[in-house]
Amino acid sequence: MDNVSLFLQTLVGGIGIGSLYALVALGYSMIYRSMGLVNFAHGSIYMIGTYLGIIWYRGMVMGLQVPYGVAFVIGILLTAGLGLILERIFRPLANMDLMLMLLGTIGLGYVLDNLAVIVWGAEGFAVKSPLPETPIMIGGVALLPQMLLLISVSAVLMIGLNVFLAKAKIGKAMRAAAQDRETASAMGIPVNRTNALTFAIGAGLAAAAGILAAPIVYVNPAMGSAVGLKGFAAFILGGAGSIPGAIAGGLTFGVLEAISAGFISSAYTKGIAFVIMIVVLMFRPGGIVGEVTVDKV
Amino acid sequence: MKRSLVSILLLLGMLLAACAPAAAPTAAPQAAASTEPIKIAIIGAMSGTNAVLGDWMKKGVTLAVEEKNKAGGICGRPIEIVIYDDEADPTKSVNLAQKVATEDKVVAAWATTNSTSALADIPIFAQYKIVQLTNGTNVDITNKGSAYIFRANPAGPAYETPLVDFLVDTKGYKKFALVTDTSAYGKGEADYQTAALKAHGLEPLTRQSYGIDDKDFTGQLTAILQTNPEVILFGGSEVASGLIAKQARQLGFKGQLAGGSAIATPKFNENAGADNSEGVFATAPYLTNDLNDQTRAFAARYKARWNEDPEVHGANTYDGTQLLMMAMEKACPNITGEAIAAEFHKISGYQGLQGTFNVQPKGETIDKTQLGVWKGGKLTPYTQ
Repeated sequence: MDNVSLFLQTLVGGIGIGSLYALVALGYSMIYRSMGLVNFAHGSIYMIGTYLGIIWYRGMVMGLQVPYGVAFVIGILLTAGLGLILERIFRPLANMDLMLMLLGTIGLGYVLDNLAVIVWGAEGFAVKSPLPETPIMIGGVALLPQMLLLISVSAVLMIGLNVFLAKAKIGKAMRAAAQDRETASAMGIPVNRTNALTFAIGAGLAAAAGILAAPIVYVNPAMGSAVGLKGFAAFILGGAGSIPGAIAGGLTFGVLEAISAGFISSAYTKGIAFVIMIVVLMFRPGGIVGEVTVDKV
Repeated sequence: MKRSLVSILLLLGMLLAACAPAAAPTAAPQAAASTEPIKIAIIGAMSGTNAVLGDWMKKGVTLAVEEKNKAGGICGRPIEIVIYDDEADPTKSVNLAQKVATEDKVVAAWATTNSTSALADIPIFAQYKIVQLTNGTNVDITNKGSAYIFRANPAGPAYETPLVDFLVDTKGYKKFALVTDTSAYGKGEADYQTAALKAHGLEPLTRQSYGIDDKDFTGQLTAILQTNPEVILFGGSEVASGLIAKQARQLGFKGQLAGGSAIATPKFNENAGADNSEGVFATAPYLTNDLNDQTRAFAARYKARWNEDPEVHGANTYDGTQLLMMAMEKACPNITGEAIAAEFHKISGYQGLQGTFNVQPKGETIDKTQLGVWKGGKLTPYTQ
């Protein structure tokens, strides 16, 4: 393998795993924008979302086996539904002291993790890809079909979300509610309902990420902790609350991790990626794209 | 405002509830009150990526204990098991070791499924004079000078040295790349592989590492493929090694894959997929349930109890528990950690599932492994 294809191979791996982080970071961002809430249970929602989709694909519910695409949609819808319920629980926390928010969301994350262990057991399973497992070779670079699916569907979801927020009426309402809750409320926007929808979308995106990544990773109740942390890092790196920032942050973090594994030291990838993140934030405290100021007292 | 407060209390309640299951012991059924049960503990990874190790340990130990209790227990006393989850975290493990020593007052403990935590727990069990069993493979475990530690399976070099010897002497390979995780287990296995290679005058081309929760190994594998190895040796655990085997094949690696006991488990095969595990060499003290009458009978009983086939961890925890119960019977009626440990050291010539056990002064019990090869999703003994 020559150096160019080696670099490209590493880059592809980084973009793949980075898309996953980006989708998770979007969930953090959406919820932070609208509710001013950093949701530390988001990694657990990602894990639950993965299960809620994959259990159908693997025929774990009454032996009922559905195609991957159908399981993908069911998983997103169920997790979005769960998001609606969680929003109701989180609502009183939204404008409270940071300490209480932290405690509440971390606690809820534990509850979800333990629920998963009770319902599906502590032992995980490998998921078979619906696509061929043999990679497509382009110029010495191996492209795994499932990885391409993850990257392309993530891209579609991210673009779709941007269009939705910019163009759709309810999307605009969500942005308005995020900017100024009181004024939006006075203008007749049902703020609580838009927040619920935001939460549902964030949860749905996490489920999409998990179901897409499931055939590449190993599914178990602990899978959310590492991805949740890296998604959070991507959310901060991109600029807390910014939608393009979450995407940029996720991709950057994934690529940083892959490059440090391939070219610097594989033992300390996490450390290196986080160090670079801290350095970036020292020079650009608002993150790569910039911060959306959430001003709620 | 009032509603908000209620919600916070509710959440705090949930938080406490979430912590509770990890701390609550799962007690075996209690026997008649006249015969006080002998308490032993299992501390291991019951959740997290390594949860499968805890699950296997629980099943192997529980089966051995249930059989003994059915046959009348130890000096008429039943054995009771308390189980704790340390999440493969040495800090949590040490706290739990303290807890079983001071609150549960156990005489023996399986601690733990992971070398890192097992090493951390050694001083606690030595201090409280409690017999400690582990199926971790790191050599340091029996080099800490504790008279209470016993290893129920061969130590790391017993897997890696014969494997490397075979790959170099019989197969004629010279170019090796190592990939392992950053745990004590992973670092240890890769160290023993390196030492075994050195004995043949060879150096690994590269040694790549990853964190135990990593899932994408493109970076490590591209670095490995660049060195153009004939063999990739796995040092890490079953799930990650399986994923690495799959990703290595997907990146076009055509050479030999091989590794120690983690590679001999069904979890490795599940994560690699049968196509990618084909032809992979693994060493383990327990390759197949079909080895002899004893292993076949064990596999049948295990399957009847747990509705799944046993593998090496189920077998070594069963073996270790048999050794422990033998020592308890000899120590009877003096069931203390000190007396049991003294009797444990005297065991020799016990024929277990993994072979013949002869307990050594430092706490090793067995040192032989066999070579196996994956064929059609099944691990079979390799005949040279």
